[in-house]
Amino acid sequence: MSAANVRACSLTPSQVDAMSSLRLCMLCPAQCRRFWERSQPEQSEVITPSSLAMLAVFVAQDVIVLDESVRQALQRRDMAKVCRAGCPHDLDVAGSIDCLVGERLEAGAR
Amino acid sequence: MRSGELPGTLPRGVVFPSDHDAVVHVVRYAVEHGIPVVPYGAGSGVLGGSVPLSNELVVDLKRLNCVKVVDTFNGLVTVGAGINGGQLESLLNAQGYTCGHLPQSLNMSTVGGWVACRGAGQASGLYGKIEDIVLGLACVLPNGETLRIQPLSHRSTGPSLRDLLVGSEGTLGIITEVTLRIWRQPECEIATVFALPDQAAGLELCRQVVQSELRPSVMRLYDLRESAERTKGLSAFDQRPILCMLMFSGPRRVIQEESAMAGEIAAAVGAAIAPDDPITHWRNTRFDSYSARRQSADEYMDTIEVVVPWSAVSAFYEATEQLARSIHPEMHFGAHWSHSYSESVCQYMTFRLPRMPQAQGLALHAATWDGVCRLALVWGGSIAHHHGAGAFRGPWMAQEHQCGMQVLQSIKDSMDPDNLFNPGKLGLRPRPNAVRMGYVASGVES
Repeated sequence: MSAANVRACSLTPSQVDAMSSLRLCMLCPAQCRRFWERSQPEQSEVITPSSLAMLAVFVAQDVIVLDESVRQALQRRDMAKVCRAGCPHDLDVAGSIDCLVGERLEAGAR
Repeated sequence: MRSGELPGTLPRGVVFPSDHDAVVHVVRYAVEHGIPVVPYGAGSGVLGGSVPLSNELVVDLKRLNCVKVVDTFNGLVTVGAGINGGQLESLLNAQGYTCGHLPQSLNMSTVGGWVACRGAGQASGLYGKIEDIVLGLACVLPNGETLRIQPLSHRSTGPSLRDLLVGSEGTLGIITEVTLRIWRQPECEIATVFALPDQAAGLELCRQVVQSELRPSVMRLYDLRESAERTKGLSAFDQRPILCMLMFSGPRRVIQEESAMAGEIAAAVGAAIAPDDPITHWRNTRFDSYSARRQSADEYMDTIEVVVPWSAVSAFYEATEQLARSIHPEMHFGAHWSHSYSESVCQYMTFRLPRMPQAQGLALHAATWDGVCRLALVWGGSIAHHHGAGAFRGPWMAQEHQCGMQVLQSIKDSMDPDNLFNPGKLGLRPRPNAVRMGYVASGVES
């Protein structure tokens, strides 16, 4: 069993589902990205659903530290919300992030 | 990455230039301070071409996404290199045009990425690969100067500088602007699904179609395994289990004749016309990527596309299938042929290993790459048709190019003496502190 799976043992069933969705998203090459208009001023990779999913998974697995920069990045969900309409896997990335690491994000913000 | 490990290194930073001049400034700053750079589009490449190997500065080009000119008189469109492919195609379609480059990655890639990696689209039979579609470009060279290549398809002024940049994967310059051919959207399409008695008949059909000077926009032949996946429940394939789909696109009168001629060739090799279901499904899913589900299930999946002469393709297929079996008895192996030329054909293979310890999976994965690349060269082919070389194919580049690899290295050294532009890619010399990243099996020399 991998280290990631060992950590997953402490997750609730809904968090396991969220983890599964986010792992799928982080390994997807962001087919939904064309829904993000080219007129949008920010065109960076860090706001793509795949990047947010990766950050959330890595936070949940304690691969990266949930510092202020990561917390802020995980709150930037405009692209994830817009691109939900174009997700071939019908994922709700923003909702899955809240489910998986929402409490930790809120705790960090306090 | 799925085990929480970083591929390559972190970049030392990411910059988001908004136009060509900003890229010039970035490059001049980087050169002045000895900072290596990696250009980045949408990151859909599968060979690690945009992964930093020595803490490079990543130059994300997605803000260069303007449409500068749609020149319908000359049949050209000029765009910023960072524009999303799907957005460009939608924009052209709204005006009744297409650029004809329709890769599976259409919606998750940029035009600059297509050019930098020498990609191919699903309609390459009619419109060609990207090197046949891109006519002009602007790029920032490692010395900070701007090279502009005017959009003319043919000239006689020495070797093609355009071809030096197309496929250079950011090692010789950062492409900032691209001019592509555009075409009126086809008046109509005629698609036919054929069921064939065996794979040899299918390959013969494809060879004869292209050598008869027919130009199907789409011609896709599948091996037995991939055919079976696409023809479940269709009795037309009970006796003829091999699937081939042909589509002609263009003026009605022209393609009616082409389609009829292709039908005659098909009948002569024993094909029967089958229901449209497989091509309907393909149309509906042609821009989807299906690998994420396999990867997230912790399987080891990869695709490898090579090109081999017609005279070698059957033997090469048998050799690669045997290779897969020899590497692991449970390895999935499937192949199709979807880019055909008068002398050669691209064999696109999917390899998939079940869940297993990562060290074992990666070792078998590396052995697969090594075996396929070696076989492609043995059978007179090329190790890459349209995915590029990136970081992962580096170890076999010298075997492919022989002394030509030194020519490429000399060009690189001359244009980029400090080795700052995407160092270590295309099999070119890495920086001294670069991490090693690649499918290096034992016995492969990088």
